[in-house]
Amino acid sequence: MTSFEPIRGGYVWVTVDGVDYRIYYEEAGSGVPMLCLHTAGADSRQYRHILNDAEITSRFRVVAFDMPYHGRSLPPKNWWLTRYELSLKFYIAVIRAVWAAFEMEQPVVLGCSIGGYIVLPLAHDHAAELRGVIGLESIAKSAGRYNDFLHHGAIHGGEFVASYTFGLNSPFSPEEGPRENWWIYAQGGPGVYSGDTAFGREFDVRDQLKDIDTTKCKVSILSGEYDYSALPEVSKSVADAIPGSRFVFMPKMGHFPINEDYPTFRPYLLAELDYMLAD
Amino acid sequence: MGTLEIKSELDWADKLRDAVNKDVELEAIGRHCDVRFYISSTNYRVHFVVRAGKIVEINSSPRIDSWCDFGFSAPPEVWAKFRDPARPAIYHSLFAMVMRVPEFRLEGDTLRFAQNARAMLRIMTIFQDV
Repeated sequence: MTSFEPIRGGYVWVTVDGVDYRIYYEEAGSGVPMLCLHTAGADSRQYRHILNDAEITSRFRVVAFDMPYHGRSLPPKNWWLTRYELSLKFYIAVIRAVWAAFEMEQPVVLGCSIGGYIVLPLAHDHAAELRGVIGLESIAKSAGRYNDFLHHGAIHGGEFVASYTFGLNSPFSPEEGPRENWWIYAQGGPGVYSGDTAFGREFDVRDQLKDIDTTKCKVSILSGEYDYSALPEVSKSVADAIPGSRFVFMPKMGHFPINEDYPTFRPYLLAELDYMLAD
Repeated sequence: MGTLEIKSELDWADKLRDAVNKDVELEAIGRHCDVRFYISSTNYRVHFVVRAGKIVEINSSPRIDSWCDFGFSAPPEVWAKFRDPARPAIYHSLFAMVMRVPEFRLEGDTLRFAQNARAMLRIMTIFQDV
């Protein structure tokens, strides 16, 4: 069987703090812009189901991109002279540079895991520029996923990181989803997942939650039952602290709803996308 | 599955060996997995010797001369949850218990464990179902 997917891939150059980055992206659809943020140590392949979902792409222009160092986005010039560690400031700057490059007006930002964490300060700092944010497995303070074995000369980083994150999937997800996610994680560059968890170490935006203006920027938080990193009760406490936000608990779902079990996740997502589109 | 009774130690250990040794995935990924590990609780301790991803020796009465690289230890009720087909959250996988279940302990040479994490995750996943 031969078939083409309706996804277009490409590269865009953006400049952040005077450094040029070649960013890989995939996009599909038309309508309200929606920017998708992958999980730590992974890449935009996690969004292939959403990019192929006509019920979404008929209403949204969906763009998923690989953060620098991830997927097909190369590290910047002289990358070998610096240990990769993602910072809050850099993460936000890259996201805003990409959404500016695509001339997105009032986008929805959908993020999973660290992507779900970063939508919180985005909503806090840039509410007037956003239609809304959807945080999957969001927490407002680091869960402490870092350890030195994630990037260690005596350990196969790809296999260890992929195995270390594998249990974050639900045991009830169809096997091919978690296995695909394992593969994506195993392909991460040396120290990239570790560097992303460094972001988690410094991340604490709990004080910002009460000030997020959901009359300007809608907020939906979704959490899977089997996420032992961003525990559902912690994600719920995040939503509870944001006046006017929505919280959705997803039974039998894990940390990677976008690709571990998309058919089960899809109704939850569609409901929140309808909410994002409503006046 | 469920609670591990001391009387059935050899039974579950043998079942684990048999399942591991015919596992297609371990056949594909395990050829460099050479470790000695144990599974223990308050009333038992069983040593396993793994060569090329196969369990080649089981010792349910280990003496001082039976050593391991690393092991997994937990009270019976924790092992019961780990092996419960309902897969209660935070007990549902090896690394979930490492992070969230204080009564569960990964002991010994954790570097050696990490070097074999993929195969050991598979072996412990099989242990959930034998």
